[in-house]
Amino acid sequence: MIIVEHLTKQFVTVKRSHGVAGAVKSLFTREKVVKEAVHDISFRIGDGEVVGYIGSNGAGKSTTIKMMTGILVPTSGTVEVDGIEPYRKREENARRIGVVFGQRTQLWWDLPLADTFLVLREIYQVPQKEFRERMDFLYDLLGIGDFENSSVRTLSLGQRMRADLAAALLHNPKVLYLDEPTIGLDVLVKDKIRGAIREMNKSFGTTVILTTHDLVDIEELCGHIIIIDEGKKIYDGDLEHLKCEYQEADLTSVVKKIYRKGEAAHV
Amino acid sequence: MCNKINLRCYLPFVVSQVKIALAYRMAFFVRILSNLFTVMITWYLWNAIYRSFGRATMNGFTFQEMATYVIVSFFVTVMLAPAQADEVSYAIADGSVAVSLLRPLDFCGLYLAQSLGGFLVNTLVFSAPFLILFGKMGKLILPTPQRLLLFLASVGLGYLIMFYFSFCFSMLVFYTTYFFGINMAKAVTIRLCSGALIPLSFFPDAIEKMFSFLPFSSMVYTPVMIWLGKLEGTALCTQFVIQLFWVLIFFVLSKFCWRAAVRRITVLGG
Repeated sequence: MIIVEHLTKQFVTVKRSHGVAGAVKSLFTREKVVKEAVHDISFRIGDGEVVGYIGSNGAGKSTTIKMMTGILVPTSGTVEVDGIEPYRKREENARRIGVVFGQRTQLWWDLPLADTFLVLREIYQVPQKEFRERMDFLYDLLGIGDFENSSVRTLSLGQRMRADLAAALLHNPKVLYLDEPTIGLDVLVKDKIRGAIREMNKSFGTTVILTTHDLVDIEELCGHIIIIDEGKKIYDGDLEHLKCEYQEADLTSVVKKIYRKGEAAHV
Repeated sequence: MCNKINLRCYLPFVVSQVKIALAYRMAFFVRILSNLFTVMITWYLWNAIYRSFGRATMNGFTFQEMATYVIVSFFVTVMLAPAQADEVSYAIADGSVAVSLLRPLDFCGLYLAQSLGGFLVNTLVFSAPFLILFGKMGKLILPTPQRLLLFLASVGLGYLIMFYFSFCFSMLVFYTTYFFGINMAKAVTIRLCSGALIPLSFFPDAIEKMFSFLPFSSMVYTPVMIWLGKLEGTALCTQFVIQLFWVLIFFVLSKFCWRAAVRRITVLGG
């Protein structure tokens, strides 16, 4: 069970003026700007749910995920994952979750892929038998066998993402966070990734939180949708209800409608 | 289950770093060659200095001792290099720190384990064989087994001082984006003040005194002086106590810095 309450995150940045005069000026005076990436967001996610977390670029999705995984400390508000606050007990929380950041790899760049899995087995202390079973399962599901001996730096994006997903699932996490796991992938690899997510959810009851810009991911996987814009939550519910509310037949149209509204509110 | 006491969880970081250090063949051989050249050049330089100086000892160092000093201090520097822990500031600056934070491990411990992998390789592969080689060639004075053990213990402590000092220093990355420059400045300061270039007793008295109050002299100068047998009895004990003192100070400081820093982490985008 994940409980997010009044979650807010502010970043303080320094405003820089442009031009040579501006550069000189910013040597002496610095104007601080507070940017609110996430504003007063609350929601609940039950065990075994697959949740789609969507919003336009810069809406605050990744920031929320990072607070939920314990990497960032919220400015105010709380996150509770199975009774613990991730940023307070980062290490304890990290043992129970799996994370894939589509734009970053957690694999060892210079090592063969199989070595990364061995390292992770040690870190999470997965018993040998369990490790073998899980590996067989994941190799089968994601088709990793062909490149398990290649160095990670030589993998294609599709291979790397599959490997990253396998790495995140190795210790059978209770909660799986996926931040744009299908970014830049071809249709077949996307299918494999989605298949694996569905299978893990079905067989192990893994709770999945997914951010993506590919709405097919959402339609195929997610029973629960949360939409945020400008750091604020604007929808929390199921897909059918969402389509009803916005009177559209498909998700793409709904999302376009919402983003445009956000843009208009801006101007 | 993995917890802070369970060191097994950190072992794979040591091992993988060893593998990474040996993964690139060309880099491996180039490093060996460049180490050899550096040592040869320093040896000939000091040889020339002593010849033109005309006397047998300089600031209490015979040529043989001086040659030993520069060669051993060079290899101690090689062994300690991974303790500079530059990756910490790079990881924080480019956001890849996010991945380390996802591990169910202590952040500082994780980087210490990684750097120890480098320490093992640098010691066993890039230092020990050369020290033995130069010893056999009669270029340097070899210590007695007992002194060798004391030397190794002192290198170990020096390593921890440098690591925890560097870790604290890395937290400056939160205040400046020009970490490349400050890391360079740190490396140069350490080289000068640790006795990696010349024995600290070659500096004017006042400066030598000042350096002895800084943590840097415990990193290189102390172990090399132990190798040379110039530290014995009470002086030796005192130096070990000073080394332990600095380890403790920077260990505590690193915990403190990290706790303050973690709130400032901002990982934007991906």
